[in-house]
Amino acid sequence: MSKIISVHSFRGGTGKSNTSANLGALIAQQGKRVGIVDTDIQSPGIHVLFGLEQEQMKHSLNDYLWGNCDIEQAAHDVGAALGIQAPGKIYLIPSSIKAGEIARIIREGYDVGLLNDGFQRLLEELELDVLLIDTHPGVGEETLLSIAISDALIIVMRPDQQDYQGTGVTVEIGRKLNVPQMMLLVNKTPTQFDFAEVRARVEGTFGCEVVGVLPHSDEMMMLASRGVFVVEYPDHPIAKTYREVVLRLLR
Amino acid sequence: MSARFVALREELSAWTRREGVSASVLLELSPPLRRTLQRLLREGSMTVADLGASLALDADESGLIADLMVDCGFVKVQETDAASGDPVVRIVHARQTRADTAAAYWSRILTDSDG
Repeated sequence: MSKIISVHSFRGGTGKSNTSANLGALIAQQGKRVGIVDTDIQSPGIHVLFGLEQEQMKHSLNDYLWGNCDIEQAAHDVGAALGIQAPGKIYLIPSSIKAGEIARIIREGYDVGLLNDGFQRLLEELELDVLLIDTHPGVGEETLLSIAISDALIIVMRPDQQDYQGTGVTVEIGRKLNVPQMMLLVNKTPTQFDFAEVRARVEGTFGCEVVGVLPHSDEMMMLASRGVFVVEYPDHPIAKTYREVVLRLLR
Repeated sequence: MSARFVALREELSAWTRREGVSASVLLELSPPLRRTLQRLLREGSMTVADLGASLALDADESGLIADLMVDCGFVKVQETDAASGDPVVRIVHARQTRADTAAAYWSRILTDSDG
């Protein structure tokens, strides 16, 4: 039985795409077939982490939404760059990074219903064990749809007052849509903070499990999205926390 | 007729038809209907018998509710299950653009928060 996991944050800049990429890589390292869809069409970015250049993108999610290709034609096998070995596979379905195509999406919108068709087709055609949806920040129709069909929802937030308020909205929607597994991941936590206290405060505020509290990391900043952190720093405490998240997700 | 059936019939009869199910529509529905339509979003289709089981309805009630769901634009019935001969309901996706729905979902969220 395949699993759909949405990775969401109410605000941008929380590390949502980094989280999607790291979880995807770790799941694929376990021999699973993973797809990652970048539905952050207005501000795509996850392709950078996988080293996928514009000229390598034969098709993107935009092409599928405009009827120019089947969605599996927009799936790029990015496993080799991460050293993923069979039977593990990791496919990225990127959003276009061409300025004109992003502008067209913003101007014209797109048929959100097609996304669901596409998700289901990806599960079948690529025989995926896990489909990760890297969502657009905030609460839009495509985000609601992703949450509605997900088996698990990971909400990424920083220990920041603005994130607290927005996260509350997402948690409320997740509850209303009865997402079977909902968890919070606190990211970019200043190392001076008491992590146990942060965890307790966030869990107390939202009544939702905190699956990990990740520190602000100089190594992550130095990597500067030039790779997937758990591949570059497999022994780092952040990688250990991501592994624990994966264990929870696949249990 | 069960209390569940009566409640669902009232809810569906009062629904203003919109073609297809969107995620923001889900937020407007009662939990049993929402859960069933979410399952349909994921699985694509189910027999009327499975629909009834999901909504805790008997066979007669299931057929009537399935008809009302068709009238609401949530599902369509175009085929029967080869094994059981039972009609199969298939989800109808709303064909909306992002721009169309922004106001709808915020309105829904704010209404819920106020209420």
